Amino acid sequence: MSAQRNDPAVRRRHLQLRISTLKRRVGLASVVGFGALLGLVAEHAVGAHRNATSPAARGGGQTSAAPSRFFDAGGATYSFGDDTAQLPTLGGGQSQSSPQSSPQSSPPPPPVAQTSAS
Amino acid sequence: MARRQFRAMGTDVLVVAPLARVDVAADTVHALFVAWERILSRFRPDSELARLNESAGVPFVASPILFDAVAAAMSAAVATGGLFDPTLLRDLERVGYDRSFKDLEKAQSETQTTPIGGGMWRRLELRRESRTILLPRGAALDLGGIAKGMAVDASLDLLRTIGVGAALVSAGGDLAVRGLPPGASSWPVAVGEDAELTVTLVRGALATSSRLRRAWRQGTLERHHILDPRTGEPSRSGLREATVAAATCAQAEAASKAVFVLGLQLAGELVTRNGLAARLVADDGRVATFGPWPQRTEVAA
Repeated sequence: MSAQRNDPAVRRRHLQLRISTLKRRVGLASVVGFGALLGLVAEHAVGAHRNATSPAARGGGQTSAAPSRFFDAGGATYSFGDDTAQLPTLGGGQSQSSPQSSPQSSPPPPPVAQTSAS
Repeated sequence: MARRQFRAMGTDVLVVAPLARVDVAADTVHALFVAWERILSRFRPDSELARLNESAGVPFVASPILFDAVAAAMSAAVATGGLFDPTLLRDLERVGYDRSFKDLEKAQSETQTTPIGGGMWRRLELRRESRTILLPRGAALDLGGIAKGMAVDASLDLLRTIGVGAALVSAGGDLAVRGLPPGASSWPVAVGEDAELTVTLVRGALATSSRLRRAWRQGTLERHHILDPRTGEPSRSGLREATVAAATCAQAEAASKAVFVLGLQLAGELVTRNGLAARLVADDGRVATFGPWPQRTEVAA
């Protein structure tokens, strides 16, 4: 028995057997891991789709002001003109922002509308 | 450019469009607002919204316009963590705003009732496939502001389909623009109750929430129409008005309400996180701006 174990050919065959077993296990683990990853990705996609299509259905218990698709206008946006000008008539008011010290710009054209109308 | 104005959805609606198309533009917008008012008004007992509110606890199959308006309001509630809350109607009625504002008694007797508070939207269910709305028992919806904002956005979409590429539509000051006036690079718009400054809008929408205009007394209590969902009472955030710029009028309207309720110290996070711009005026006259609000407009008097 002992002589057989010390036989280099037998030892090489054992080693090859172990390596082969190890390869099979690594392969199996890879497949299982990949499957799990795929499952997680699929679950995430389904969750995202559910959230996108039915915000009300998941509304229960939601309390945080998480970003929502409501403010995602699909690429549309707003912008102000460069010629925005000031009419500084705010009685006693002051800005918390950083106003420029001498914002000399041409008078703005008369407004065509006003926010906060009746 | 020319202006046309009419009354609908309990407010003044303004249409600004090229002179040659302004009448057809105003007629188109008027027809849309009249149709939407029939569906979305809480003051009309025959409106579809009124029927929905009477059907709380029972599944209600809604028209596409009502379903989309409720879905948008729900989405806005989620996005603002409930600071915009469409389910405050019973509290709004309790504090005296139970009819169209022009018919409202501005000096009412005091009533001893307990606030309900917001949050019922969390139990509202929407089924898009069947356009079914299940309002929780005891809840009632007020879509006033966001419905006007959506009507403004829908009007501009409609005007584009009939070849009016440059227009401004405003519903009670919640406004949006499309295209540019001939020969101009922007739309000059006065901001706030006092029109204390003018900004120039190239694209997008502006909306102001103010406690000054829709205000009344209930006994010794001063009331206004912007309720804090956390208390069910008119907001006491220390703000006089909040103006928000956004891509759409519905977004600007909902955000201005949420920002108003949050107040000067807390509003910035909501504004910047959602890519908005805002200008807030406190009761004591202090002004703060957030996001890419034009800085040159803010000059101490």
